[in-house]
Amino acid sequence: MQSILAIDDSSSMRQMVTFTLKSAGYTVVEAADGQEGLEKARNQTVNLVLTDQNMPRMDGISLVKHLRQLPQYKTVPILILTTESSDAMKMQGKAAGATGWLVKPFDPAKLVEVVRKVIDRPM
Amino acid sequence: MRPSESETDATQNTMVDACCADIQGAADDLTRLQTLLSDAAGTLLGTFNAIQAYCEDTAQHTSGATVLEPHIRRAVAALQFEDLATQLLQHTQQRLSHLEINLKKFQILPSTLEGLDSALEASPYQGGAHPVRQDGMDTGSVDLF
Repeated sequence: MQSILAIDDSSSMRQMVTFTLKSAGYTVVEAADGQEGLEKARNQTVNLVLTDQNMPRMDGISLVKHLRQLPQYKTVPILILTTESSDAMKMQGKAAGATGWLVKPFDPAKLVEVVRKVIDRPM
Repeated sequence: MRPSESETDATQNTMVDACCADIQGAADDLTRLQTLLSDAAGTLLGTFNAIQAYCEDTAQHTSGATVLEPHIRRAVAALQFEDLATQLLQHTQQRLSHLEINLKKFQILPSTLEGLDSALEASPYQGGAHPVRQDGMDTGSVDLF
């Protein structure tokens, strides 16, 4: 079963993401901020990372940069799910190595569609 | 008869203190609002989980899954309101704090016109871009790079 690392400092958001992805058949590992996400990513390689942007200790774009430095995460899709919608922020995410940028609130069916599209897409 | 410098200073300080008290009151109200939101969100999520578990169990024996699916989708999107509301509240509280800092500058104004311009120069809010631009719970955009 494919696994996804879901990172968000909002517990209600983590619940909705986990519910959506588990319903679609994925295993979900949760983290409450970028630092915790990075530690969990190092301990267990996942098939996709879904991260918030505005978080304490380490934000999403910083996390993406750190993950892309890890050999096992050079090609793993990393999606940023955030309230931020500015083109400037999206470009920062892209430059950091993110695979995609999703603006909250997310539609569960759309999220699953995007995850399925990128999780097996060669980078 | 013009007020003395000390009378003017005292009036100025009283005004600033009153404004700061108003700002603190507004900040306290926002904190209370955050508590209410968190409480409501917790209740809603618990209810959602219970209903979802029941529906999954029921749907296994009926064709109810397709009937419920669009409602569950809308509920999942709407239940994300707490995250958006929390971020907006935190941003507003930061701006109020910044306003208070700028107001307090009036309490240390020089007594002459010299240097008044630079003393009154309000530092711009440096809290970063507004994190929440949404004004509804319509689901957001998706960009794949």
